[in-house]
Amino acid sequence: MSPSYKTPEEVNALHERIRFLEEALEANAYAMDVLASTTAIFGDTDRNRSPELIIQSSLESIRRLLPARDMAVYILDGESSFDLAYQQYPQDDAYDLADAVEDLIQEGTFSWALHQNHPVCLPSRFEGESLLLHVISTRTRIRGMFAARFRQNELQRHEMTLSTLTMVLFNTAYALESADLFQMMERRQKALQRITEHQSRELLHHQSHDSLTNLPNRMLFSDRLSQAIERHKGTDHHIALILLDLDNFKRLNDSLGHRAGDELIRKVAQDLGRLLERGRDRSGRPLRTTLSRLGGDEFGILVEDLQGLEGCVRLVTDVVRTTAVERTVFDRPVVTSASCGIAVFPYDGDNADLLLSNADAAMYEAKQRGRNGFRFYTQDLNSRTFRHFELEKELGTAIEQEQLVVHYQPKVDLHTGDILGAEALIRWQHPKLGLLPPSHFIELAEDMTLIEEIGEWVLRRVCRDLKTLPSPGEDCALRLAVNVSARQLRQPDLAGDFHAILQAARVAPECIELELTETTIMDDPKGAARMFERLREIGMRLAVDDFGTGHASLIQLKKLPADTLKIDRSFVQDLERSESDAKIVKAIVKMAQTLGLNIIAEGVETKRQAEILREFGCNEAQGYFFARPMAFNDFRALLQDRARLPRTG
Amino acid sequence: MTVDEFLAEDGSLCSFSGSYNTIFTRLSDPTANVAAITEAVELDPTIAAKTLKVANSSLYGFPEPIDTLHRAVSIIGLQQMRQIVMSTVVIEHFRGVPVIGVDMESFWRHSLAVGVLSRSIARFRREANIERLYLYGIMHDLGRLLMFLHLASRTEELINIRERERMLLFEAETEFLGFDHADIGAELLESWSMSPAQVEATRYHHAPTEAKAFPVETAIVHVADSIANALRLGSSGERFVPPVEAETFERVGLEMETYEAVIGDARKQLGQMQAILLD
Repeated sequence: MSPSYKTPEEVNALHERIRFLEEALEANAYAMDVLASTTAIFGDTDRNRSPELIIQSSLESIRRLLPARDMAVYILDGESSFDLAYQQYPQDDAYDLADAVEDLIQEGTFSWALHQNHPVCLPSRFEGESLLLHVISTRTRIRGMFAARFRQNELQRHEMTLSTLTMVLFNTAYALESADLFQMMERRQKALQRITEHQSRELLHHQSHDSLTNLPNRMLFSDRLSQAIERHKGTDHHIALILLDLDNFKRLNDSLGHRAGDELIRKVAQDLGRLLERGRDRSGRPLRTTLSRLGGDEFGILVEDLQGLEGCVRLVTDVVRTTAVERTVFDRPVVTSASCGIAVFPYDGDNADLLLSNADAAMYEAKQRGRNGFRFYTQDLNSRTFRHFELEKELGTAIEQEQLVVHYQPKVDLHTGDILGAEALIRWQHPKLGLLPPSHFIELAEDMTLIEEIGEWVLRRVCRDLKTLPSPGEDCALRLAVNVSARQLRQPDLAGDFHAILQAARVAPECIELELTETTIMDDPKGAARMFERLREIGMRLAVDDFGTGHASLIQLKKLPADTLKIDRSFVQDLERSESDAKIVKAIVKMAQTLGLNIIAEGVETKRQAEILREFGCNEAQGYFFARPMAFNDFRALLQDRARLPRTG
Repeated sequence: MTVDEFLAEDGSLCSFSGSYNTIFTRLSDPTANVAAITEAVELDPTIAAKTLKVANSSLYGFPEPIDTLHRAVSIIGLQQMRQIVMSTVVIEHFRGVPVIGVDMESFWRHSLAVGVLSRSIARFRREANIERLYLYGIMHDLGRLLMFLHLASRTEELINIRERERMLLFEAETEFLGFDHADIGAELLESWSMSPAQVEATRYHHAPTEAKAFPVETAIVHVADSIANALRLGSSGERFVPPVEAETFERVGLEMETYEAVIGDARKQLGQMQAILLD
């Protein structure tokens, strides 16, 4: 057929159809655009994954498709009821979209529409208006309902649009579903994370703690030890590692059973814990300690930031004492004791393993030595520190228990060998340790401020001894020298105190010579000069001890009202070998003569030294070559014999 | 003999007459709007009445009576309404054709069952337009009707082959003619400009794995056909149940348990649909 046969009606119909197709094509292209943009519905970050945002962006897409007057979305909540989640143009009308949907729910049309997977157009109560329902559903699950109201004629040619609506809502349903799944996944992940963290914390605690006492175990302890070592490197603070082992624990375990053994361990751990909490250093700061059960009946105690070892010794003494008590275990009295081994950083090792094994060796030794005590790994520390601590206690009672004694070393005329006097030297007749020289306890006595007491005691003793000598009255033919320490020099009224003692003993002050080292004098030249002045007023004689080691200037020396210079033993020792030392000694002698001072050499050990000194013009000497320090009775005997030293033959 | 030659033999079989033709043409016009479709359906009072009855049936279960076609179209949807009307027209048209060797009642019951089952499967798959599957189901065996019509008395020979060889009827058809009813049906639908999905679903409803473009639609019709045969819901001449392969079930994608609900759903609607469309 050719176009000329067409009737006008047919031509119109064709025109109409072309117009429709053109419109449809345009609408389709537009629908495709909208569809392509629906990927945005799917939130892909935490922020835009919320149901609200998904619904909003979905409605934005739909708004571009449908000339709706109002749109709303109902979402199926957890309890299977539909809630209005979003309404685009809520109207103030008495009857709006939400009311219309409410009616549809009442009628049952709403629930019917849930099972139609396509748009359902329903008559509205308003003329020319339609309601549209479309379920929001995935293949397996209804998630909500889309509702809209629009003018009927506007939807006539939107067939393609309605298919697009189905697709958009289908995507919306899946977006909601995936948001839900993400949320659920996140919740689960968080829960899982919480559980995992909790479990790993527990596991970590379990792995690092002893289950019986809940104390750190060996692993954690040695870790803390390593950390402490790192912290202490380069500082002058110490770390003490104390290993404590209960004595005879095995026997107890065997006789009372493991449960009793466990109970005892728990109690000991509690007691130790309390003790360590109370531990303080010298300045009253709490000690930084870590208590650990290393296994079996072995405990470890880590003490950090120690400035001296006294605190540690005090602590470990308390530890031993606290452990060695009677405890009630399952209604039975149990007596325990403990042996401790101590290793000290940095002396006994610079790593945890070495310190642990050395502390262990020390503990073994403590056991060997009869248990219920402690030992330092470093023997020197053992003697020094332990002794120090013990001495501290014992020195306090040494005076009243008359353990202090004075020995005398004669001073000899180099030409005649006559005894001119003696230096009084204090000794401590220790009940266990034997005779201790002053170097072992004078410093300690100074720390304890016992030094005044001891100093006065010595002077009294010297005076008393002096009185019993053969020729006490003869113009002080015999002079006894007493050492005065730096600390004594700072005593407020040393001169007064000494004077009182001399008077009480009825001893002429000239018979007593006080020896102060050059170093002591030079530490406080003015104070020393003042003190010398006062002692001199009393009439006591004064000697500068260890001369040549203290850098005194001639001017200071001149100002000092001293009677005697005592050449330090270090010059005397090398007199035969060192020409420069000989020259110094010669110069000192010359200088003393020039200043009108007596001169005496100490530490003379050989005949040759004595000869050289004599050649230089030194008249007096003291040293092993002539006599060692001796008990007073021996000294008196020498004098009674009118002995000349050295005794030959 | 080819399918084309077969169809060319009697053109009258392949086209509708009178109002059916007008309705069919109008329904096929994609530019037709609600008013145009409504007008077309109203051309034939029987079709109009039946369509309204279907719209009010349990197939839709709309909570309130739908009293006008116009309203039915808007509620059920334009596209959906096309397919409902089309299937009603097809049934009306072919019910009147005198065919030898086939129980027309049983044939349509089978076709209707496959339609309702296909629709039900699509519904459980939550497809957007389930009425098209209803249409595919109802028309899937039209080729057999044409074949029987054409063979007339020779139908007996075909049946004999099936009995002798103990094969399925469509296999006997190929043996006898070189092609089967599915080929004939597909060609017919193509000549009617039906959708490519329907043509393919019809052509391969016995060999669903060969459907490349519309495998899901084809698989649905295939499964529905097998269920209808198994349940003996009418018959189009097949006596055995064509087997369904696992792959095909997988393609449909429903859990096996769901088929109970699918069948229950379909059974409920089938009686009503028979009463509306076949009485």
